[in-house]
Amino acid sequence: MKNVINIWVAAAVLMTVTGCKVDSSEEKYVNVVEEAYYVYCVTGDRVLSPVLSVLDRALKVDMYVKADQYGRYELEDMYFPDYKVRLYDDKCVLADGRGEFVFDGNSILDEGAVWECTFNGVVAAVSCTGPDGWDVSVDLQTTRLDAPYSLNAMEMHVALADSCDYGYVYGVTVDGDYTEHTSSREGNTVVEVAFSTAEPTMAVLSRGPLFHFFNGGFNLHMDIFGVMERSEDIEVRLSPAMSGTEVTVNYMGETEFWRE
Amino acid sequence: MRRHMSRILISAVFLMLASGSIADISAKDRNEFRFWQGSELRLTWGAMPLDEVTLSHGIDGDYGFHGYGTIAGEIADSRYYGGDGYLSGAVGLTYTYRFRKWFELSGVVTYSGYYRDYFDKYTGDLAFKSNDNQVSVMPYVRFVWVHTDLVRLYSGIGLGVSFLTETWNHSTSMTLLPAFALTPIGITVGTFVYGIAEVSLGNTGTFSLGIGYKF
Repeated sequence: MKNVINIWVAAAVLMTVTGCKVDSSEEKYVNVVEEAYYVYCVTGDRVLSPVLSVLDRALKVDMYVKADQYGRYELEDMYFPDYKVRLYDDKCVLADGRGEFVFDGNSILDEGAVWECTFNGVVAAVSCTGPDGWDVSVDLQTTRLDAPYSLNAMEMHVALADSCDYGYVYGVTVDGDYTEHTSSREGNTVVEVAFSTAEPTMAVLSRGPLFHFFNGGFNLHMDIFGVMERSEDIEVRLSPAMSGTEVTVNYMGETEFWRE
Repeated sequence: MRRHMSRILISAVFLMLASGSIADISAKDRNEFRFWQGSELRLTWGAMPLDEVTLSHGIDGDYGFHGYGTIAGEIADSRYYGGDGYLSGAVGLTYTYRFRKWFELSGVVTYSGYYRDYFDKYTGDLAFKSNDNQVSVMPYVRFVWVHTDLVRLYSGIGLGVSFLTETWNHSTSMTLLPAFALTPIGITVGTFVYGIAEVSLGNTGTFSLGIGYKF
């Protein structure tokens, strides 16, 4: 009988010890730099792309204005397939209400020209500073980025670097900061991100309304206020890879790479 | 579906009762076992109980950035990573009274738990412990359809309640849930002290092993 007891106890202990681990440690998935890369992605997609889109659309509207009737059909198909373009003497309206470009009588390619532009919630004055160069001055009071982001400051200078099958390639120099404001059960969290280009950085319209940034880099600084208070620098370098762009992110003393 | 299930359950109960009675009657004609009314205590361990604790764990989550939230949300979600996660299985303590050779009534208390430590990804230090504990209490009837001095084969059914507490990052919630156990077949081997093995559906575990004592 003692043997029977011993066998059953041994079996029970064995199953208890070896049979119950159901989740493996997630330590191997931890990548602290990932959050810095995410901040860079948000900055590019949610803040820089909408503002750069204003200039990009203004240049395309300028082409539309200068084109003849047949050229306009072609441009509508190519650049404005989702819009009804309405051209007036002093402005061009993308008729679903998402865009309005008010001319000053000059082409946006003429030095000194200033267009008041509204596109997808961003209100900005686009001024031509020289051959193929523009300043984009965002009206911070009326501009509405997609929630929960709001722009606090931005100075953007853009130079036309090239044009390709995808459209224009821009060299962007930018400086500014934005805020992300979220509420949760734990309380309000405010994230402030300051951004600037480390050098003129290339951008091309890529996925839908989003720009792909390459050949250059950004210096970011993130301050989080609230339950997760922290203040960190983020360094992003964008270099050409065999295919696409290699994104090198330096954060909290660690460096990681992503391929875009 | 529900009507079919209840018919199956009722039929099963009647079948077990009938088989128990037959075992009782046929046992009288044989001399190979003795029966006496009395009590038993059982200690069992069941693998894979069908309870909330077990069903809601054991699937590795998708730790990391999902890429569609806010900066704060994504950072908060990935702040802590889990260490190894363990399920206790169903640890059961059963008191049984043998009314007849074929009929036993029990009270079952079952514990099932899940334990996992969470670590701060910035420091690697232990941040908090996550514990889910489920205690089930149920009356349970057992129908013995083979009864010898050494071996008993039986089926059983129980229905009760269970209390679930879930602790995550220093906050705890409590839930009241139903508990059940349906045992198509179980076996005990031994006379006064005996070993137990049974197959069940419910809070006691899909496959259980244990030890019991008759007194």
